[in-house]
Amino acid sequence: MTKRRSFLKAAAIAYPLSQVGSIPALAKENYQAPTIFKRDYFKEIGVTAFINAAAGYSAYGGARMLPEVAEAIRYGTYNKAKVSDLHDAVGKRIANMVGVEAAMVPSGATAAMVLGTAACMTRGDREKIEQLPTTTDMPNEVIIQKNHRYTYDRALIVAGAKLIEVANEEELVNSISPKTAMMFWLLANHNPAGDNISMDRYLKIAKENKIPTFLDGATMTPPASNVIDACKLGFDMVGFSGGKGLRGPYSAGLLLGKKEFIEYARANNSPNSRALGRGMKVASEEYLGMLVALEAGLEVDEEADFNEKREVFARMISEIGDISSLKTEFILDEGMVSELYLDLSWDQSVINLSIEEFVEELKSGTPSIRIRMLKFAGGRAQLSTTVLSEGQEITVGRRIRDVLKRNS
Amino acid sequence: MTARRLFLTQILFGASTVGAPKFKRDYHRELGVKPFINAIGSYSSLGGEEMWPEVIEAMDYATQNKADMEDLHDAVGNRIAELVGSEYACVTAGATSAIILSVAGCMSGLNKEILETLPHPPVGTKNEVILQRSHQYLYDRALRVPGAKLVMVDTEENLLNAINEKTAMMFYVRKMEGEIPLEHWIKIGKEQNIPTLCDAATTVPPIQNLLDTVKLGFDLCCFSGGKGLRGPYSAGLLLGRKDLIIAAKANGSPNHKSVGRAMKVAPEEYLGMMVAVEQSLLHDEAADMKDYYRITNDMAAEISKLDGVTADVLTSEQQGMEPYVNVDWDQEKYKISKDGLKLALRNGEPCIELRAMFLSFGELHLTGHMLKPGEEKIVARRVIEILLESKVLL
Repeated sequence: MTKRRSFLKAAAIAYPLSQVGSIPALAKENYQAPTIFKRDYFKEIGVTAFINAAAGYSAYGGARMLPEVAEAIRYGTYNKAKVSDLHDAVGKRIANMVGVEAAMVPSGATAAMVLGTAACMTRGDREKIEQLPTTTDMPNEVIIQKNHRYTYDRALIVAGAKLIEVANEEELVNSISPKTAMMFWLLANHNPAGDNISMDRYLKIAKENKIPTFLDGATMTPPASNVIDACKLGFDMVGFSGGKGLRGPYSAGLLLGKKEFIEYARANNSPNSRALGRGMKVASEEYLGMLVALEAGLEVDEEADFNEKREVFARMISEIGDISSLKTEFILDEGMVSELYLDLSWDQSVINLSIEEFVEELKSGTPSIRIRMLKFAGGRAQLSTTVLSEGQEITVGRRIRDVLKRNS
Repeated sequence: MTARRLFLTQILFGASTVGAPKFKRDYHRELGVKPFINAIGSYSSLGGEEMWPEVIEAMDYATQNKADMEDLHDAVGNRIAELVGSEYACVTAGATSAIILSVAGCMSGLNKEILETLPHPPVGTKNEVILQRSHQYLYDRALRVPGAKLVMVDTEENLLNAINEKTAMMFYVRKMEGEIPLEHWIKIGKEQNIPTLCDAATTVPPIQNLLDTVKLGFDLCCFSGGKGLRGPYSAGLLLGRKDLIIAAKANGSPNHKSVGRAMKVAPEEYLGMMVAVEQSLLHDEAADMKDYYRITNDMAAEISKLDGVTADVLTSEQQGMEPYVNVDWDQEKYKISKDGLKLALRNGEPCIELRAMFLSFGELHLTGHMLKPGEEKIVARRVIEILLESKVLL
């Protein structure tokens, strides 16, 4: 961990209730009051809206975009440009910001993987682009380490590739052949299994054999500066999710890297009518929104951002008040990704409520509140501030107090 | 810049701000992205159609109000189905995505083994899609994305012979010619128990075409959302039988292990699409059409004043009966090819795009519905100016 990150440790220390009042007020630029809309659409169609104190999960509608991202999206809806001009210009700007040769905005991190694989299999050959996902007469094998297998490696076979799993360096070297299209690497915050082959060796072997490499860093933000760090690792292509840690549009992501491969990837994507990825459309406003999200993300002062989150939590804790046996603790996701959570735990002989019952009561109450439940260590109840609107922390705090008190 | 050019530029920039809110930053200028006049139509490559303001409001709402994606999908699906009179509905990442998910759904049903392995499913999976040879077009490419094979037929006899236990779907393109009549296509599909999909992506407006297509009896039909319906650019509609739509959705986002996980639809696009359908149904399309006729007639009247130049206002079924100006000229009098005129308009100031080449079978078409107020005058003047520059002097 660099010096830059040293404040994180301090931020994660459990915060005593007695000091809640002493936290300094900070600018609330990331944390806005909700807008009043003419129509309440969710109510009209019978959807239960909820306060998201869990985090920006896809299934819960993603992260909350920054106001400037929403503004850029609105601009994009009113001002039309030729899609290819816009893709070129935004790609160039993002590439300059990150320090890579080229960049594009796919419809998410999964799309980045689909397009990266398609790029390596087709390499600009029009006939091959037309044939996908039939890959019989082109390199169509993607090498993946055994310990890097995960839910989303599904995306690697969407374009018609086969996965070749390797467990050690010898297997890796033996598996390389003229059919090898790409070598894949999963960048993860916590991979208890570790890597089968070190990154240095993996990249060296790829270079020696002239095999393009892809790094999936989908979940490796915040901070946004991780995009820059990941691109320095030496992979030919790097993919990121846009709608979670980067707080960009929900159906957008980033694909960054060597110019050659980004061009091959674009040839397989919308708006090309006869491309495999034509169905993975990205609106012009999402292109602009992704650019502005990254700009804003790179400008975020991480320390101020953390202090702001702590302040929000402090107000929540203050509403919860003193409840016998309740422990509140700040949890920091350590590693490359850093996000602050508030962990709640209590003695279940004093408060007669399991973690599961607690989560369910918050969910089924009014207003409905979602928090995240981790399955390990008999279950943990955790909260995040990232998707909260101004004032919601007070509501959440009061509801938690009610639920816990009622069962004490 | 000449005085005349300056005048034109002022009209262009003056007109383009009508109705649009002011923004703190001008992103396109910052990025060096050139504005252009759209006399071609609401094509995806040009950013699609402008959304209804109500759609933008609904999208703002959905970015600020969070709900469970499953709840939202189901509620919006039911609401759209009720509005258009279909059994069920879902919002996809565009019409192409709707085709891909439909085919995938007809191949997989809810079989997990197939869902997780497309486009290379286990041997024995239904993987043939039948279509008329005359219905092959640009977007039939989408049918192969989940791993299906295309089977071409010309006659009803061919069709009956082609149907077998591997047939996943019968695909039909609305408003396209073919030897097998639409009614027979649907009837044979029903008799043989083969799901039918009708691609009607570009047939709206008028919105009536959507309502009519739903009633024809296809099991599924799909539409583009960002064009005639004036919904979000990367959204589309899949309408029809609930069981087939549920199977199609099983192949899409947010399911992690699906072939279509990458075709993500944001919650704001979901809600925006619903409001686009509502607005389209409320809107007075006849008044729009009258306006398009006025615009195209004005352009045609100006351009046809030139000696040896014809500018006829025509319509076609494929383009939703919208009027367009077909510009043609005597090649002996004006030494410029059609491609030459297209490029001169594109590379001129301001940049103008018109419908040409394969989109209009070699003709040059000017359309009116994407033009902002006053732009029709600029388009007509530029066409006249370029033709005059190439006029053979006698």
